[in-house]
Amino acid sequence: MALPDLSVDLGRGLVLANPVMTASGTCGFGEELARLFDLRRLGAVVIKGTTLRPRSGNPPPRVVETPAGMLNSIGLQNPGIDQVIAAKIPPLARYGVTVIVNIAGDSPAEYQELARRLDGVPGVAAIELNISCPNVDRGGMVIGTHPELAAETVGAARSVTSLPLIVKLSPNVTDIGIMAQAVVGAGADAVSLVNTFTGMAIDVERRRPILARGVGGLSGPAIRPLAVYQVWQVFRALGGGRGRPARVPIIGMGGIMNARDALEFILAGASAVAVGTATFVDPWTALEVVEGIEQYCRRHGVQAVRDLVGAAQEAAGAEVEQHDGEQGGEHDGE
Amino acid sequence: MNAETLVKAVGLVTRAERSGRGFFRLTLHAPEVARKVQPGQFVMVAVHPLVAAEAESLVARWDPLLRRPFSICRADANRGEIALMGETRGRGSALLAAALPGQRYSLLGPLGRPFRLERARRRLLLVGGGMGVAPLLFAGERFAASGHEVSVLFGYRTQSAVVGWEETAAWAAGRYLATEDGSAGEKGLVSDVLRRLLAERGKVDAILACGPPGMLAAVTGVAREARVHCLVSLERAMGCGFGVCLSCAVARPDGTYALVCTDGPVFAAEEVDLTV
Repeated sequence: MALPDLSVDLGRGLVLANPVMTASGTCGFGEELARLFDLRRLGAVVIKGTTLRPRSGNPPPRVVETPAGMLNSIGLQNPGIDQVIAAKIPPLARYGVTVIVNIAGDSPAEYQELARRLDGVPGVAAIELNISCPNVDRGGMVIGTHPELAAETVGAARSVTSLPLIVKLSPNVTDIGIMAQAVVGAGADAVSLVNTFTGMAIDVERRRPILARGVGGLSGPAIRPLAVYQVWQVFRALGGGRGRPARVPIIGMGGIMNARDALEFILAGASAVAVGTATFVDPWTALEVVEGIEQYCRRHGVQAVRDLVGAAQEAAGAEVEQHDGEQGGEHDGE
Repeated sequence: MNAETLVKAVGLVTRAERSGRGFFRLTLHAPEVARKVQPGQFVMVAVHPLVAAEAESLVARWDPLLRRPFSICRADANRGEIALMGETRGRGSALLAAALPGQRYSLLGPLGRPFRLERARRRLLLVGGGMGVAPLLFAGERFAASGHEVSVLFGYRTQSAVVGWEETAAWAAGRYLATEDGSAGEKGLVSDVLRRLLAERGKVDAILACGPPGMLAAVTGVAREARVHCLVSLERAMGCGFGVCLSCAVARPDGTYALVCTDGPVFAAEEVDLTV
């Protein structure tokens, strides 16, 4: 059998060699991982949330471990868009990595300015609008939980750049499908989900929240079933079904630790996936997910990974073949 | 950081020591790490023992999820062994405290910037508090072997909390022990004993300190008053250990943050603001 076709088309010319990327905020600007493996073997690298001005981030403690996951409250620590364009993107671009720049602002005007500055920067393959960061006081999740404000933000960025626009959605809403429809209507080329779930952990001895800012974003395997279902919902809200693509591609993420987890997202409707917190535990995880998806395709005779997108929608159960000894057949219940 | 040398290694437990207070010390066979690691560096340890390779992908080892940072307290390149020590504080350390000889653990390392000293700084005083003595044991042995005159001042809450003290006899020129309750050595805080030692014993070329935040703030204050060069090894909660999660922030004097994992864990005292 020929090698499975792992390539994915995320719209507006953004074609990835495979469906696996790093999630923003979990791989810095790629420098650390680039020392460990060839980043070109990933579909794309999504770099740390970038703002107009440098941000020093939130005071510590910034992270607390929770059952099968962690809460973070980093607060968009980054050197600012000028420094990112001048010093962070060029080495990745020279190396040939597909770079997606995650941007965050306080207002639609700030997102617009960030998008304007990135338009035409060599090596930038796409922009991810982070309208879902739970760890800042202004902008971020406020925009990502109001459909009109989200649409206005996407429209503002859309008007100043021809780069593909991915909108990263917050799961902290009543109906994520409505948010997806709003940003797609405003010109988003793709949506990525989920950002972290807002959460809190309390030090019972000291009787106060552990994180300095109190609230944080929950990530890790603990959120995976929640995230898979949100991808499932967005796929349907965007008109997707089994054998029928959604109006725009979905990038799924939330607690992916291995290829099996990534395939859950793809089968729910994601065209691509992002590995986040798992990179902290093992920096080679994203690479192993690429290899694992390829092995899965071979094992199941799948010629193109895009044929799997949304394949669990409808008719789930009745048509699932049983394969003895394979992980998918036995729920691992972790 | 020495990211060029970061490896994912398997550490085979060859020795596991425990005390009733939740203290543990593990000796691991991990030749590549043992060969590369320098004093002050650390490893990130997955808290779940590895299972047979063919079953590894079936086992969910995700609660607790994150690896734990441990300073190396001894490294023997010839035997291919490293040692680390800790105390039971939460779920992760409780699991590691139960490690048994023969079990294997996944390690990332060596990580972080080591203690670096010019040869001219000959007379060193290592100031440790509690479990903070761990990186100083490794540093003391190596610096003594390379011709420095190394003395130690270790402080603990009480006698039963004393760890790592005996082994300093092999290489330390001067040894000073203090406990807060006076049950072993001198009664008092290490920072107070340090102030007196610096006044009485005369010149020290550098202080290497590691311990709890309050102790380090006091020790660096004494060093500053006495105008003695001081390196501190910091301990913070870490998500990754190699610079991408941005969890282990420590304030710099200008209000920005450094990362303990990649900018440290060893800092010159003036590089960080320990009062925040």
